[in-house]
Amino acid sequence: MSFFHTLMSKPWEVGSGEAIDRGQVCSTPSGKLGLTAFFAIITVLFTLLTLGFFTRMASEDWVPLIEPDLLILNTIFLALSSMAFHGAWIIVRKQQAMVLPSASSPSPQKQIKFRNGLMALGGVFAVAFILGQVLAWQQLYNQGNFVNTNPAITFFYLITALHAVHLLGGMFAWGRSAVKIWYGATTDKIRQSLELCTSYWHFLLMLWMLMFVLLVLDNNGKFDLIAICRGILLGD
Amino acid sequence: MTDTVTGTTISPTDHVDHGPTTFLTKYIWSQDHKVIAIQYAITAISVGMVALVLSWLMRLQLGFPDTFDFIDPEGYYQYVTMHGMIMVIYLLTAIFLGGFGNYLIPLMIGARDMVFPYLNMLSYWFYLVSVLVLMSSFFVEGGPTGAGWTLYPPQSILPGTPGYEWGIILMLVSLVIFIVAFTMGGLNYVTTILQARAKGMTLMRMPLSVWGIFVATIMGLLAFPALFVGGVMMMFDRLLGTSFFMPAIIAQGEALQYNGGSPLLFQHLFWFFGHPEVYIVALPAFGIVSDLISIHARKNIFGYRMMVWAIVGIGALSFVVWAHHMYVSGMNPYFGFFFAVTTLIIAVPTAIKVYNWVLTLWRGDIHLTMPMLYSIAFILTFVVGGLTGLFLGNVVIDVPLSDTYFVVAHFHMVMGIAPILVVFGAIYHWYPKITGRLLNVKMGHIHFWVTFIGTYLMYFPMHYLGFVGVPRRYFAYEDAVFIPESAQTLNAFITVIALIIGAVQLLFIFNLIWSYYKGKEAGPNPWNATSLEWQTAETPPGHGNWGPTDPVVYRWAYDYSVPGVEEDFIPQNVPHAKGETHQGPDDDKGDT
Repeated sequence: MSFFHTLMSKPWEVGSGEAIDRGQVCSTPSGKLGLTAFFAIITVLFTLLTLGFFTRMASEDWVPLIEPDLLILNTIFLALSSMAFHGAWIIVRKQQAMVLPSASSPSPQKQIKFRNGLMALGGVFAVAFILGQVLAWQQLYNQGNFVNTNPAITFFYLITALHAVHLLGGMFAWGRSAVKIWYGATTDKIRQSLELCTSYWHFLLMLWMLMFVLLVLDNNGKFDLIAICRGILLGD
Repeated sequence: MTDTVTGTTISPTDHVDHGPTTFLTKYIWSQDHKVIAIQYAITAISVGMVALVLSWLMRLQLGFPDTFDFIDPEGYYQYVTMHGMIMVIYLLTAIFLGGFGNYLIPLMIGARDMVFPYLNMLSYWFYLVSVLVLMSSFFVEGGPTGAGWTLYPPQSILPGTPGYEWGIILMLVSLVIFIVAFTMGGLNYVTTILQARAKGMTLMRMPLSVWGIFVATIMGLLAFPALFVGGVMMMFDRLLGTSFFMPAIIAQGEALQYNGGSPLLFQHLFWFFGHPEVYIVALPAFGIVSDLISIHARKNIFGYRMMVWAIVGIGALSFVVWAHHMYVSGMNPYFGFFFAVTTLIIAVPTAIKVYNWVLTLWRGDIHLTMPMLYSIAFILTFVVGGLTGLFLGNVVIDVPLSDTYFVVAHFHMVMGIAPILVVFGAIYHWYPKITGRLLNVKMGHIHFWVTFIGTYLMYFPMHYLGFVGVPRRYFAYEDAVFIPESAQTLNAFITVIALIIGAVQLLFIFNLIWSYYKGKEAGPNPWNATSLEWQTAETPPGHGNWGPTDPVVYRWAYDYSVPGVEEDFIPQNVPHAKGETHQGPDDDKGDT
């Protein structure tokens, strides 16, 4: 039953909802639904930052910042981290889907080892991303681009810092899963946290890519999205 | 039996064995939503008492200027700022969502707890830390910030503003921590309502209290990020010398380091949060008062669906009216027109709610219990405050009245007094479930009448002060020739009334404590209410709320005075009897 259909029902009538309602709007587990709601909040947060960015960009004292090339490498790290989590998640899903392992499929022990390796790799690449961001800060700082030098630089520091804080929150969840695995938790026990970590990493990767585009938008000294799109699509 | 929280199958006895056993886990580091609710409420009321004392100090200065040496201009601005911020955020938001939300959501929807109990516990402790950080600003160099509760830059972070040294920093840090706390709690409330309802509890069978809290929480989750962004940016400006909000400024002949920032950007961010915040406080009050009226008038709520739609509609509309707080900040006239129109449109769903409350009372079996008295007082106060809101929503009327006591009177009536009357009504209503005892009615009547009449004596004259042009936020008006003598007389009168109202709140606090030990035993359902929280196996409800068996819901929460039924209420967990007729808005309950 759709939400709007629900809002139209007449609860005072005998028989309304008589086919006993399960008490859930969807079959999505609570953790996943909670995380989805959290995505909405983060989206609002960064949308507001983006609006602030554009508002402030219109002022005369805005000096475009040429972002360090290192950010491209950092983006690759975050993408690899995200892919590693996704790989681990695919293994877990396959493990669950398999009622009887076929002769060709790898042994469960091997699968678990592979899964754990991918999870570890996900964490390592995430740490590499954060360290890379810190290094980018360091480069800017050494060039004399301090946080209060120019609003473009301020936004760079603020947006990258807030994004990194969210990733650190994810690292906390990753750490908890790692501890569980260390103490021999079964796949069932870490299934949900791995799924949530994977979704969270994908989300943060997407968010970072959008923020990255936002930060480099002003590099020509003006906001000319069409020129950038033409550049990408037509190679002008 | 399937536990909706974890999705695992558990035996009935599992629930009763899971309760915490030590004092520490039961009352301090508790993950039980009821304990967390009480922790929230006690903290909120305590910090609210601080804000009450601050309002006394303000009123002493305004009523009797040049009398109290210990009140200086800096102190006065600090009292104003802290009073406003504490009352709006740390008392009202916290008590409605952290207090009532935590207590009522699982009990009213038939859940055993919130879906993320650990996160819920963290939410309270973050809230407590935010309160402690805020309170610590009273003890640091320069004292708390005196920037006004809206914290408008550039003034809020310039030297010369009280609390420049530490106060503003602690305020911003405290707000950021509060928002983190709220987010943890809010995610819990929303997910619990969506996913952990008892079998048979459709969304449209939920009591309106839950609807109000639900929509207000969603609004909070979407609105608080704006305050978070504004707060963090301002912290950058204050601590790191950036210029998000700070334009080029020359202070005392010297150019400050700031350049090019936009103070208006902060105002937009602040009010994008600030206006929904009004409804974050109001919607839970709307929901709760709907339930109180229905229960104590022994009548089904008039227009349940319309009430739900109005709550959702008000929630959505409240995100497109924020700039009506900024008419005097300067904006394109077409924007002003747009925001005036959206502001006035909000009056439509709000008026629907008021009509429905009155029509629920119409020919109802009204019991003048304490909750009912407070509910009626709320309707009257909200109408008065709401009508002056229609004045201020119009640009041409707002411009001359802005920054006068008319505005102070308006927002105190509509979002100060009106919601707090509901808080009182709700406490009188649910105290028996929380403690097992009824609050003392004699003390309650004194508390009610002094508070209710007192607030009118206090705020009606303020409208007049606003009309004659008395500006708000002024420490003294010594040389203002346009202010008549009568204004000062009124100010003295208002101060005396404010002190009396404040004092009677102490009687309420005393009642809470006294009744806990000496109050009349309430029994499980003293108001003969239908909603699930009154159907628990124990009163107060034990850990897990429902004993060995989860409740199953068969009907909505408003089956009062159903024709042909001996009792004048049918609890939600009672199945329909054979041949039971429908209970709808078409029925005339007044004759039963």
